[in-house]
Amino acid sequence: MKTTIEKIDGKYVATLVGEMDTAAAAEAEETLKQLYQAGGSDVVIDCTGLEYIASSGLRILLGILKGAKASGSCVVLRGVNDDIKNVFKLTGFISIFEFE
Amino acid sequence: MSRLRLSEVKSFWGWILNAFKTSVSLTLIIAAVLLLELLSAAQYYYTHNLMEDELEKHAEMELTTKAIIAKGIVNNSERYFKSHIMEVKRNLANPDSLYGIMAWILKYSPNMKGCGIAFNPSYYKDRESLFEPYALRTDSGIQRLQLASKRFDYTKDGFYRYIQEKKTNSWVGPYNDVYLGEKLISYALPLYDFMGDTVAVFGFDVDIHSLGDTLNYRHIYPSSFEFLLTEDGKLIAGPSDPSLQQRVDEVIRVINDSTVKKSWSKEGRVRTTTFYDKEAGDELSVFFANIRGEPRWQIAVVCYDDEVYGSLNALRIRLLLLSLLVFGILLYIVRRFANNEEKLKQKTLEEERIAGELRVAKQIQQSMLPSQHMHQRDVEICGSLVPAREVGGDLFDYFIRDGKLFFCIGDVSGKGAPSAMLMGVIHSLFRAFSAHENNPARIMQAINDASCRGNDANMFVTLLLGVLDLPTGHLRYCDAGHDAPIILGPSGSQIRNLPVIPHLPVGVFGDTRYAVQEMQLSPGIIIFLYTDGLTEAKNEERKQFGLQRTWALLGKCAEKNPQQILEAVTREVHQFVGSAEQSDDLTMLAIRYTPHQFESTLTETLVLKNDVHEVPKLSTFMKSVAEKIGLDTSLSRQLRLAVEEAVVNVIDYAYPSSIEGSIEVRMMSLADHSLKIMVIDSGAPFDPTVKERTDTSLPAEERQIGGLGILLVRELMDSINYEREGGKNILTLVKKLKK
Repeated sequence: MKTTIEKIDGKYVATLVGEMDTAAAAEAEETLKQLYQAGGSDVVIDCTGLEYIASSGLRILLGILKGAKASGSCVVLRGVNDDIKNVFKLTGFISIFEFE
Repeated sequence: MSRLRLSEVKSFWGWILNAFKTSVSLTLIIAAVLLLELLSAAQYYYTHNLMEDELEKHAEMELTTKAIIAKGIVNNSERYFKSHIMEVKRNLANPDSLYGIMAWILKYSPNMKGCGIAFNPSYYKDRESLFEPYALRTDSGIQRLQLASKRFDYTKDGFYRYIQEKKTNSWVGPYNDVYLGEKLISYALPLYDFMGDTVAVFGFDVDIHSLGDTLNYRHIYPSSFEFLLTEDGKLIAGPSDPSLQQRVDEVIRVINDSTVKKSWSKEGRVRTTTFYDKEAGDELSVFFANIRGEPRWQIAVVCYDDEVYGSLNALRIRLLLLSLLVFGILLYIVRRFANNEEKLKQKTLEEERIAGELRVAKQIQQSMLPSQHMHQRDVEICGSLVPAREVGGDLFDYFIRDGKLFFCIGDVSGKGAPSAMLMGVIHSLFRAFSAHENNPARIMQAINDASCRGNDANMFVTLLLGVLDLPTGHLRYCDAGHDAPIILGPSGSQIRNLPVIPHLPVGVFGDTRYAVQEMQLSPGIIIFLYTDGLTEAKNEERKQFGLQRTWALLGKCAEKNPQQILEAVTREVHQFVGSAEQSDDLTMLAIRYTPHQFESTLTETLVLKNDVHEVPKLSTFMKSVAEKIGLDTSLSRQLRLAVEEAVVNVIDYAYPSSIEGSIEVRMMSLADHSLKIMVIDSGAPFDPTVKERTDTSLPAEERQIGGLGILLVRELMDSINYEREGGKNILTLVKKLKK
């Protein structure tokens, strides 16, 4: 799985490509943990290339969301596929995240 | 009366008004009393009329009698007087002898006051010009007087003048006599000598007082009085009481007043009128009539209404008081009865209310019970609870969670509403603790702890809990003082008790320690649970149904399904009890274990090390299985996620990090189109099914980081079952595949 972060127009854009299983999530966290304190900037997570996510991945996203809310910025998930959307529904994450 | 406050009077009056509106009996009493009063008034009216008629008759009689007497007196005097005319005539030449004759006449006429001859002036040449020999009755005897003198000139007035004018016999007066100084009435006639010339007026004076006294000698009523009037309405004689004079004058005035209506009596003999005399303060009834013959006088009698109708009025008042008293008594009785009625009504309302509440309580209790009958693929259950009263102290419950059947049966000490309440509590505790605990002993422990705290009523509950793992047939159970269930089958007439360790009932001691027992159930086995309401059901001879009878009956039921078994037992018990009253709650629960093992058409196994880095292996594994079975990508991803979460849970919790272990993932495609995935590990006992459910409705700030894994497993799979067997954690996940 590939994880990249860029700053575009004052926003953080994280791009996730591949399958984020428990093992991959552990690795990805190393990169993504900087977003836990986005410092007021909005965060966009591009999931167009994300095929699969497990609960540890969800945990990371929740962590980013909590950090952003605390500093008043927002988090947007872009291009989430139907299977992953279903997972969000089952866990109730569908109502706490914004989708594009 | 001074102690009676206005508020009391008002409230009494208000009560009366209210009582009128609400009480039929009170209205009836009022109506009766009113009718009575009406009757009494009618009676009064008729009696009054009767008395009036009697009075009239009485007065008539009285007047008749007194008239006869008066007439007798007067006529006798008149006759005796007249009988001496001849003697007087013969003695005219001897004037001195005339005194004697007058005295003689007077002596034998006790009703005369005086008698005398008033000669024409200067009749006797040798005497004074005015000569009237007169005899007068005084207290000291008969006096002979020459009445005429310069002072008393009889030619001026008196009977002399009257008769001279009238020239005939006549009654004269009443007039005030100058000499005697009193009122007189006289009878006089012109005296002729033998030549036919008038020489004098000869007359006598009536003693009015004695006449009046005679009239009023006996009274028809105590205060009645009578009097005589001349034809033209002047008083002749009446009562001597001076205080009555004014009244007499008033009555005479009324009699003479032609504008006052007078009516004839029924017999038509007397005339009558009534008027209100202010001074007397009473109605006076006056009866008067003309006396027949000479002198043409009138006689009258006066009666006071108070005296005439006095007794009637007194009676009326007494009756009125009596009826008021009776009314008062009846009112009191009615009030007492109304109070009792009221109390009775209240009591009945109260009883109805309680009965109503018990009915509702019964409904609540009934609704707390699970459905009477549940038929699933792996198990069939039937339960029945018949309380002895509206609500009972027995309980049975069952439900299936995560592939395990949780069931219980219990009996609270006592019966009725108090027991029902405690049973409600126990039921709630059972449900609450079973949600996150699969071990019946731990559930029992928790229930005991909770019910020992704050158990003031010293009530206790016998309880038997069981947890049957449906895939494996592994039964765990715990008994707290309850009758051992009976095990039937699996075939023929095998019947035995479930071996139980009878711990103390729940709610007795807080430090009771409960231990779990285990048994493996073969397919087809029936568990029959009951409370002592069955074995202790009494018939009329107070004999009990007993355990032996129960065993004997159940022995014939091995081939029956739970519903049939309960029906059979219920029938037997009812027959046995007959018409005796149900003494205790009758509760039964029958469970038949009918596991369906489906053949697996495909089995694939993957073994992992307890390392998170092994997890990606699941991806390829799942993809290959999905291809073999023909699952679409979406479903395959779901299954992979579920398995991954289950495996990660095992890695995290079953194996402490330093120890190496293996995890087996077994995929089976079953004949009933379901996919069974088993995750087996030999790590520490870890049951993911008893974790608290994650609340997915919380906002982001409150969401917990943990708990997502097991949540996803539950959501993605159709059923989840955990069992610890042979030192291994076995987590079974099943997904039904739609074809």
